Amino acid sequence: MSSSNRPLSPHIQVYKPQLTSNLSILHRITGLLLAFGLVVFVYWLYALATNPIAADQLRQWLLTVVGQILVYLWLLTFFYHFCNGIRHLLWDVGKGFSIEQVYRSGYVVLAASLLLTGLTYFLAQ
Amino acid sequence: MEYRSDIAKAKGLGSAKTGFSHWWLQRMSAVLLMPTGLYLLWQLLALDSLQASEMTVWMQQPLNAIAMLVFVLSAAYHGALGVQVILEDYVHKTGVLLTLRMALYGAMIALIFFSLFAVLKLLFG
Repeated sequence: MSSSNRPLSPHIQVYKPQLTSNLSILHRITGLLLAFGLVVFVYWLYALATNPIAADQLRQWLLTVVGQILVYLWLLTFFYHFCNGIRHLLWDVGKGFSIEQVYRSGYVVLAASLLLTGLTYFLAQ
Repeated sequence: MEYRSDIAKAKGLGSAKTGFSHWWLQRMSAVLLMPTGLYLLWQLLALDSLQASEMTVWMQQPLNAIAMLVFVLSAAYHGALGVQVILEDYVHKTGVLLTLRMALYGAMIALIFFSLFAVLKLLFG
């Protein structure tokens, strides 16, 4: 491909952020964070099978204040990516493309991911 | 109906014919992740402590082991497909891109191996 200085779109310096564009980039960012989280999850799984003491050490650390903050932020990214993923699948079958629907589903995704994280917190107590 | 212009045809521009399976497998792995992810979350919330001793007993139930395996394998594949798109969008140097993509799929294979090994070892002792 040509590597000349062709203009790129969207021009991020002059692009006005909107709910839609913010949620779009958030889907990417949460996906990336979840991929890193998966490495920790698989480490835990492997430790359960080969070195239970290491698995319990990880558990202990995740129960500290910092660990709990990380766990719940990670759950929030999980629920966001989960809900927004459903939104993407609905778009893939051709539903919800009008501007009003896109904004409404965006707010629903934000509210649902916060609610589900809160619900998980209360169920875990 | 042919949408490509004559010049585009002459230059051989257009689809490389391999993009669809990437897109489709990303959706299919997402569909597998939804029920297994919710099942795991529900199960882990119902457990008392998530200590290694308790997890080991839980993992010996075939249904739990299968849900865990489908979740982790789909997550590794879904994550690799997603991170590949991020790399292809933001890394413009071909050599760097190829290196990172190889590292990415190497990491995916490692995640698959470790989780497969862990789940089978916990299931069969």
